[in-house]
Amino acid sequence: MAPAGSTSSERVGSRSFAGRCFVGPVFDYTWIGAGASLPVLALVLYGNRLPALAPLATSVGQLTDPALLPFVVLLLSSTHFAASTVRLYTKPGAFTALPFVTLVLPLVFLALLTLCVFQSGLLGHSLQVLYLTWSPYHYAAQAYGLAVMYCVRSGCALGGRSKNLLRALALAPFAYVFVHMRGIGLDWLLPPSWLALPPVHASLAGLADLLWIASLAGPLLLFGAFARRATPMPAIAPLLLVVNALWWLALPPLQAFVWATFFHGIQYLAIVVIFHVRERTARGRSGQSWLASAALFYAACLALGYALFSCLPQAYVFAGASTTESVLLVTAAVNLHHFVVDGFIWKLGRRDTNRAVVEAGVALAPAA
Amino acid sequence: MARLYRALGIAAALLFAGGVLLGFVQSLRATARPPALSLDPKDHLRDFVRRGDYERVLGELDAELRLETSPERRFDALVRKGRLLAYLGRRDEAVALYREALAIDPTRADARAWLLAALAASGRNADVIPEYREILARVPGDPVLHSNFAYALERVGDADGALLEYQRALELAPDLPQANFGLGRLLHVLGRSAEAVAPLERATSLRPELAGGYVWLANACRDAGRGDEAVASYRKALALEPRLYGLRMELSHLLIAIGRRDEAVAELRRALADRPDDPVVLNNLAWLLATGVEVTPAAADEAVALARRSSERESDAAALDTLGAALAAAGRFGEASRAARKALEQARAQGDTAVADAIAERLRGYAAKKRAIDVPAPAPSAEGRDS
Repeated sequence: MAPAGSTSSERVGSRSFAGRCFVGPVFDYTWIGAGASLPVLALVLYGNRLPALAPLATSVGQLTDPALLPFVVLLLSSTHFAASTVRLYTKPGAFTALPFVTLVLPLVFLALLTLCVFQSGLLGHSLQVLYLTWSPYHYAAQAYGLAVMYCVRSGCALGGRSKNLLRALALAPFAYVFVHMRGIGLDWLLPPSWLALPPVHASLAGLADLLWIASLAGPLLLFGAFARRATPMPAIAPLLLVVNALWWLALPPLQAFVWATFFHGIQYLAIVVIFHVRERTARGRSGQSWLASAALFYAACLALGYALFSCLPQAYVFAGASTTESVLLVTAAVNLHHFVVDGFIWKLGRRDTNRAVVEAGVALAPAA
Repeated sequence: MARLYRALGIAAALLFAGGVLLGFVQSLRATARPPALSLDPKDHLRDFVRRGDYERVLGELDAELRLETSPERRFDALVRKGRLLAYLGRRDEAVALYREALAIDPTRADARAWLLAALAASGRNADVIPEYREILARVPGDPVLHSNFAYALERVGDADGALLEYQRALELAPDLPQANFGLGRLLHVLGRSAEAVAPLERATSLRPELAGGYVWLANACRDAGRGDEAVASYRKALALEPRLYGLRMELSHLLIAIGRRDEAVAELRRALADRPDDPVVLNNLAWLLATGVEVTPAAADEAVALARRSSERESDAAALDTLGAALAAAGRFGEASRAARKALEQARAQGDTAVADAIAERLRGYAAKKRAIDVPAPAPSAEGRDS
């Protein structure tokens, strides 16, 4: 018997490669699966080589135009960082279940940030590198988490080994960036003279190549391996992993950080709004329509995002820090706080409300 | 513990809210606007640059260099700081930063170009040469680089090397204006004016809007004995830059030298229209009018008037000599002799033997009531009076 609110084509345990979506296949695959980023990536990388596509490629490129970029960053990126905080403080039972994270962690981060701003030469630089090194891990972990979520939701049983393999493939792009990208990861931890040693350099180059292949081919092979099962792996699972891999492997480093942030932000906002709205609906908080609920949540994220990234740095400027230190280190600290909080708010424990949302498949019903 | 956590949570919330409010107010106070959305440090620098607060900009760039992890962004920050320091005249510091940037990425031609510019502006011409060799080893087929290298070699006195590099540039790009111009100019300076004409003609045909090309072409044609072509080039330069006083004087000298005196008079009249009180122009025009083959009474009177104006401003031997010639042309030989005697005294006092001899010769002529028509033009006092 299908759970209430799910369509017949999305019954748990059905042999459907589309899997059980939260909203619908088109929405889920486009925005949560970040399928929309594939044509954008193609345009960014190759659009200007094809005359017919050059105007479109130019239009897409204008999203990164200095005049437009700050708005895009606010609407997609800053809000997504703020969303984890808003989610944390609106999640039922969060204060009880996570007292340290909700009540103490913000103060810890504020103190750490302040220390780093005024000791930027040593601590600030380390904070910055830590954030940039952790960032691809976070993106990979999000892709893994969403893939597992869809597998659970679609009834695709992931055993211990399969889950570990899925995790390893999801983290392969992070490992690639860790060993390959200059200025962060291994380049940060080890002396340049060590990395320049020919055997080390050759080994790392070979490892990077393997990780490249594993990142792109691995998820597809795993998907193929599950294809013959009674309940196959939903296609969105490998899509999540492959798209994340393409962001980090196909784009130059600076572009990767820009475009990955955009689509990761959209992905995150989509899923967090779904969870927020469905929880409220499940708790009977249906005084608002789902649209109003989603809009309020996004508005709170927008306000907090602006406060965090634009206003807070100016407080440090007032205290005598340079604008550059303030902006860069606030960004780093907010990112790191987001990474830590995310590790707590997306758990799928048996008694967690997240689990109920994943498994119940409650539709986004209009307000009564 | 719960109460402690609650207290810490409230403290964090208050601190955060206070920080946000403080930041908002700070932005209004500093810029009269709410805090900007941009998270790019470069965007925040623009306000400081607009206000001319360059020390603040340098501080911000230092902060960026402390924090940046990406080699590309470090490179970018080093070059930006170098360019600002160069703009502020702190070129040695700029050079050090450009070198630091090139240590990150030696292949970047833009940073090397800034380095070269800073070295050249500092007068460190010798340091420029190895940098050019380095960049040309990486980018051997760039004609502009070869041309710029040629110019740098000129400045350190390596004319042979400069010629080779200009020729190399022109092998790669025969229509490169700066290489044609540079080659022609260098050949002319080396005394090879006949060879200089062709590349200079090419340069002027490629960049007809630049007066300087025509000037060099004119000089080369003049020294190569191609007077008519030189005159044409001078005129083209003057058509582009009519107020080039020194050029008009050069043209007038050339016209006199090739026997086109009437045109020389016309050019001097044009010069006088621009600078009516210039003693050199007054002097030279007066001399021409007074020493023509046939001098009308009107021309003689005009010559006297001009010569008097000149000698009132610059009472040197040349001016007094011209006054004497003008008075003689007007038939006033007694006055001419008196002026010539004063000129002779001055010339002897200055130790200018050649001029003194010429004046003495004319003085004898005036005594015999002869005009100074066959006497060479006086040594022009125009040199040093060009401005």
